[in-house]
This record gives sequence, structure tokens and C-alpha cells, in this order.
Amino acid sequence: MVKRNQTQQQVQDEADELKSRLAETEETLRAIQEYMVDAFVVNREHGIQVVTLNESEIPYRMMVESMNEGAVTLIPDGTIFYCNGRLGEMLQVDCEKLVGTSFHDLIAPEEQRRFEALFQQTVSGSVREEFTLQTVKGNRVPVQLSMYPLGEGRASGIAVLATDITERIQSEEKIRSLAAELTRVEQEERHRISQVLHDDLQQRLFAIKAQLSFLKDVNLSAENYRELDQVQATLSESIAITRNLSIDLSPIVLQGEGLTEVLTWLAFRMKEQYGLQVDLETKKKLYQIDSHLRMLLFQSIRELLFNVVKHADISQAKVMLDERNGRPCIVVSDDGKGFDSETVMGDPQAAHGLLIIKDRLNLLGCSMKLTSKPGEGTRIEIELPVERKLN
Amino acid sequence: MCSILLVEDHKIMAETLVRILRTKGNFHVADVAESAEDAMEWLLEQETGDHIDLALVDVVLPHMSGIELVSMIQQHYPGLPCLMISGRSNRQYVSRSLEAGARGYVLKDDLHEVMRGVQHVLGGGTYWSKQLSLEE
Repeated sequence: MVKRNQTQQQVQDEADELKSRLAETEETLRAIQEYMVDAFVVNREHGIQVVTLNESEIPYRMMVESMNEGAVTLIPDGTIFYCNGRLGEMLQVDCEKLVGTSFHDLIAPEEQRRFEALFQQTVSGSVREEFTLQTVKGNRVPVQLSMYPLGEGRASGIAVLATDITERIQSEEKIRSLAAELTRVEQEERHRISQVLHDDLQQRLFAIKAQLSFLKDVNLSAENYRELDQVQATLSESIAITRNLSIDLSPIVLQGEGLTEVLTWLAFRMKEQYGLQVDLETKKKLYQIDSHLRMLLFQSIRELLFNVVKHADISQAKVMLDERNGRPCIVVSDDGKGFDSETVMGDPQAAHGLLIIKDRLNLLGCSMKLTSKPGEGTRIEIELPVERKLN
Repeated sequence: MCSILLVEDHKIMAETLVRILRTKGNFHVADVAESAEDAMEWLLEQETGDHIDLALVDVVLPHMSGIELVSMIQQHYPGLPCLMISGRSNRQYVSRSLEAGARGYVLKDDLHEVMRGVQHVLGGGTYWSKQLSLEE
């Protein structure tokens, strides 16, 4: 009876163990089915072996196929080995047709040299830059390309991720357009105030000065005569102030002339009004600049030259029209006493005026870089935007 | 007595100039026009009437500018000398006035110069203010 009971218990234990192993196996199968397992480590006759599952790349492939970026792998000469559907969507072409073609050919012609230089750098590390992709039909898509070498040491290929930045570019253009509108409205208001000063206030001052001259015809005492002279002198100063203010608010030279002419006039005014000698050098003639940008550049350069007058302790400055990184550039420099640019630019109160200039320039697509050290003068480089062609 | 047509849109300035021209120069101010259009209209009306010796024209006027007016006057009345008067010594204004056929350019804030300019031009000469500079 005891022996029979023992046998029953053993059977029960074996059944329990089998149930447990079945559950474990079912769990493993579920993990495999749900792509949670890439490979197994198996102990075989010849030792431990790693067995990969044929479909283990599926989740990665699904991820690459469904992501919002264009993904491409290239062989080292730049030929497309694989590309995902999103890149095909971007370029409005069947992505299978892209396989075997050169990725370089997708880059807009005017950017191919820059791309080639960047592509060469990819061998030694990842790089990221903005380009324009162009389809056979001529459609253009601005993208940010991130390129990574595949494999360690000598790259066996290159992975490229292309992020469509059309919306960002459009937003930037909208901001630029709003900033241009702001500059236009601001200039209109300046012009209106300038007109009030010239057309009314100045005329009244001229008339008062003229009317006072009639008093000189009357027999005045020597003291009254001196006082009258004093009043007329004060009036002349007031006329000069309103005239200068009227001119500075809305210089006629801004209406339709090129930036070089505007800067020539500004140099003359800085010398006449503040004794600052501004040497203007044109190393590279600038392209036709939009009137809003020209207005903003004029105001910015004038502010920068005011800063030289106020802070640099020198009576000479230089404005140079040049080119940097393929972009038109204006350099305003002086050999004055300079300042610690990192400290000053990091202090919003101290750099208030400069930061406003920088922000306004940024809004119209320019960039401003300031370098200065105590005793070593100041140099400000303003890079102008390169016109981007979209569809 | 020489007769002058004054074209000036600012009322107080116009009144002051009339007073100065009359009392200090003993000139006859035949009319004060507030715009270039009014000035042309008045000149057309005078074709068979008053003789005018000089047009003293403000550079900045509403609608048509003083410079455009001088150009028209030179077309229709080539014998009528014009002298520009302005608050600004802007180089564009000065060169365009010369091109339009003006015989001189004086600044409003120096009335002695205004009188000198009027006398020179009435005497058949030209007068360009010594204060003209490249200020604008």
C-alpha cells in the first residue's frame, strides 16, 4: 500500500515538473513569437554556440520602415544599398528604384561639392549638416543629413538619416517675413516722426528765429540786444538738433540706394557728428539686398559705430564688406580699448544693446559674432543669409 | 518793385517770409501758393496779367515737390527764374534742383542768406548757399 502511494506521488511530481517546463517553454515561444529574443546560446557537441533567429531583424526593420526620417545605407563609394520607404516618399519616387544609384546624385547640384567634402569626413566619424535633396522631377526637399560610419575601424558602409526640415524652413521664413514687416513698420514710424520734425517743428523754429530778427530793427538796449543774440543762438542749436534728428530717423539715402552708398553716407555722418573716422573697405561687393535687411543693417552698423564712439576710446573704426563661408559678411572693427566679450555678452544688462542688435539680425536670417579682449580692440562679424531656393 | 511768387506750404513760415521779403527787401509778394498745383494754376491765370520776377519755391511740398514744380515752370515759363528754399541741404535735393533749372538754393534758417539769394537771382545771377554740404 505504501509502495503504491509512493509511485502515485512520484507520478504527481513528474507531472508537476512537466507542467512547469511546459509553461517555461510556452513563455520562451511567446517571447520568440513577439520578437523579444534575437538569439539563443546552445550547448552542443563542439561547445557553446550562439544561434540567431532568422527573423530577429524584423522589429528593427519595422522600426526603420515606419520612422519619420529617411534612412539609407551606402556602400563606401556612395551607392545606395538600402533605403526606407520614407525617403522614397520625400523624393516622390519608388524607394526600390533608388537602390543601386548614387546618393550624391540626389543632392542639389549647387551643394554637391560641399556634400562630397562632408562625405569624405564620414569615414572617421559621424557628421551632420543641412542639404537640399533634388528629385529627377526637380522637386527640392531641404533636409538635415546625419551620416555615420558602419562597422568598426575601416567603414564597411555609411548610414544616412535624412530629416525633412521643410516645415522648419517655412517657419523660419515666416519669422523672417514678420521681422521684415516689423522693420518696415518701424521705419514708417521713424519716417513719420522725421516728417513731423521737418515739416512742422523745424518750420516753426525757422519762423520764430526770423521773427526775432525783426526785434533787432527796434531800438534795443545793448543788454537786450545781447539777450536777443543769445535766444537766436539757442534757437539755431535747437534747429540743428531737430534737423539732425530728422535726418537720422529717416535718411533719404536709405530710399533706394545700395548698401555701399548707405555706408558711405553713414561714414560721412559719423565723422561730421562724432569725429569718428570710418574707413570703408569693399573686398567683396554684396548682392542686391532686400530693402528691409538693408535698413536693419544700416541701423545695426550705426549702433555698433556709436558703441565705438562711446566706449572704445578711439577715433577710428573700420567697416569691411567681405565673404565668409560662402556668405556675404560685414565686419565692423576697431583697435580701441576692447572688453572681455565673454563676460559682457553673458550679462544681459551690460550687453542689452548688443543682444537686441543680435536678435534683430537673427530674425532676418543674419548671424552676428563678436570678439573682443581688453586692450585688443573689438571685431563684429555679421554674416548675411544665403538665399535658399525652395519649390 | 520786384514781384515774387512764394510757394510754401507751412502757414507760419509763409507769413514770416512774406513779412521779411516786404519789409527787409521791399519786394512785392504777388501770391503765396501752398502747393505746386496751386502755383501752376495761379501762373496760368496770370498769363495776361501781372509780371512775376521770381518764384521762391520750398523744396518739400505736399503731392508734387518743389523741384518738379521748378521743372514745369522752366518748361512753360522759361524766363521766370526760380530760387529753392529749404530746411535741408540734402545733396540729392540740391543736384536735382540744379537739373530742374533752379538758379539757386538757400536755407531757411539763415534769413540774411535768403535775402542775398533773392537779390542775386533777381539781378540775373545764381546763388547756392555756402552752407550746402553732404549732410544727407
